[in-house]
Amino acid sequence: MESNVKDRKILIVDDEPEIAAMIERFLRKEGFYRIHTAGDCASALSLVRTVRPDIAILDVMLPDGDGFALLSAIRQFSDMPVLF
Amino acid sequence: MDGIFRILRRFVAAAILLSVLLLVFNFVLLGTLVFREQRQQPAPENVVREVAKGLSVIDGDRYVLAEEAAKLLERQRAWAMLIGEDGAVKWEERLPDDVPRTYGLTDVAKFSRYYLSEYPVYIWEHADGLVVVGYPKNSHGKFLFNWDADWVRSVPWRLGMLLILNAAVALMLSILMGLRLVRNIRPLVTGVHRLAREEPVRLDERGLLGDLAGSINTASAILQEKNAALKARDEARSNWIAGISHDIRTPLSMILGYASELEENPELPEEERRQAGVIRRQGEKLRSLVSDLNLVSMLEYDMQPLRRERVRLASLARQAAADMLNGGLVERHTIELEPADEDLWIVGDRKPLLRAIGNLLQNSVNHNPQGCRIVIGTFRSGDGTRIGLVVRDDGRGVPREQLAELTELPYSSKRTKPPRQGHGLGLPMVDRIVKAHGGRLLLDSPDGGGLIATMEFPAEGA
Amino acid sequence: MVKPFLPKELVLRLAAILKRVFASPAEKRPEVFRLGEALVDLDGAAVRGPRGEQPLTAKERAILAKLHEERNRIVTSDALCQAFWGDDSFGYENTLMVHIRRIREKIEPDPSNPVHLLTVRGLGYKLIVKETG
Repeated sequence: MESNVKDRKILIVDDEPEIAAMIERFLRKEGFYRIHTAGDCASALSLVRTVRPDIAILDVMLPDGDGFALLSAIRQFSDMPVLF
Repeated sequence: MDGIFRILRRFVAAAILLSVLLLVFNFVLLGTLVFREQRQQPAPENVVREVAKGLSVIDGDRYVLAEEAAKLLERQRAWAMLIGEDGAVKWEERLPDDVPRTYGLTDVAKFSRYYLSEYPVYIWEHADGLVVVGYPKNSHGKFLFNWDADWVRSVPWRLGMLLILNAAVALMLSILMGLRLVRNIRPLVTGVHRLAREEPVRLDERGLLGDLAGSINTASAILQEKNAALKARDEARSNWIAGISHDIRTPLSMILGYASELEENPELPEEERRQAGVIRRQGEKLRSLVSDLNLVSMLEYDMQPLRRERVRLASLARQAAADMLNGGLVERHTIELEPADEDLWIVGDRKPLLRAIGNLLQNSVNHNPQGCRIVIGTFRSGDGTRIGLVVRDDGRGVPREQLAELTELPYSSKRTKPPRQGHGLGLPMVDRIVKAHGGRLLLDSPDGGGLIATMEFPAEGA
Repeated sequence: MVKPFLPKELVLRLAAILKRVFASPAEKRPEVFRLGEALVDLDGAAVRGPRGEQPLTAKERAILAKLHEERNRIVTSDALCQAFWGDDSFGYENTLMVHIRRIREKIEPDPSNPVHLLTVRGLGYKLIVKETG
């Protein structure tokens, strides 16, 4: 895999800490090292604004909203690709 | 509105028929009831003729009446006389006293038209004069009719017009009455048709058929209620399923994730890695089950919109076979493609269709752990309106009686046997996917063994 | 949906999206792989095979790239045709066969008995690539 891909900033949004931790682990194992996590829409949005990640992995159901609503909110100011 | 016009036509026809029959009946009645009396006794004209015939002269100036004629006269209680050329009575039989014995020209003219001294009289020619027969007073009525000849000739035409006008009036009246009836019926008919289309119906319950309207309204209300309840239940169930499958996702992710990691960990001994592999595979099966469940329920409750694209059947068959082989098929099972008709297209959604074929293939594999030969083919019906795919295996087959219930959901009340190898959702899902594309799934298991699954669709444009 | 997922799948998907969105032509690492004795350079569109250094035409390169992307798995002829000639691949199978034959002539020691680029009868083709360690 190209090294530049692993330099990318990744945001994981999931309200289950175990899941987020597992995903982070796998990514780190593969060489990704700039990983951020959020547990709800509010903190996710603020992280998107401050950190400006290159890609996000979103969960569908979050405590303060659903993944699609979060996506629309993100789309207000960012085009970044998103994985559901 | 067909029904209404038919009713109207019948009604009008019946009314016309009725009026014609009534008219005929009246004529018959006229003939039998009204004019019957006339024939009972011999007509006066016949009597006077008989008398005239029976009157013969003897000895120059004496007349005698034949016995028959005399009896006839007596029976009729009538009198008779013979008036000579000079106006004097030459012979008489039972002549009453108030009848004159001499007559002038005008007298004869008068009584021949009407009455003589209030006796109704009838005359007949005789060689020696005029024979007159008189009946008792008030026993006969004489009426003189004068008709214009032209008028008489026009009678048939007039009678014809009578019949026609009668018929016309009957027609008009019956149409009017029929329309009135229709006006009362039409809202009910419309109501029933709308009921059949499951639209809400609210009819006016006053009027001629008020209680019928009331029943229709009630039926409509019940139907609407039931439909709403069903829809609510469907939605609730679909949400419930989505909820459950979502709740399964997280634990399943952990199972899959870590099992997979363990499987790939080079520092673990062989056996432990193998076991982790087993866990991972089972986790994947669960994953596909959950996804099937969601798809089935979505198709069941019509919530998943299907894409509409042109799809080539042969290409689908190839992709399904390739996917199956790529997924790892043991040598015991073989998949072959029959030479396919490349020009068979349907309109539909590629992904669910691929899923359906995949399920059929997987079903043959699961049902025949001992191995079998699977063949995929395409077909087109004789008239070109139905086309489809056939997945055939030469394995164990299924007893004929069980074929029908294979497409029911595994735990539905229609099943008599519990689902066997495989999770049992495969075939019902194929059935639903095919139905959602306007087609049908046909299963057959010939006595020689094996299962033939046919996915039949309407041809594109059919 | 991400969940439930296999870690490898997730990482691959992530990487694929990142590559697609962010990779620029200059950054792209040339795809080079071995097929037995032959060396295939997709980026340089050339093969160093049993019969020496030979260029790959655009179509041949694209076909090989697709087969390599799905290496060791069957790729249907429809999928190959669709990738290069658009949706309706009806009627292009012969052209495809010709291209495949030419590719074989460049990479196979014995083009008539291929060991790398196999035909899967009735379905399509498969490129066998031995995964390195």
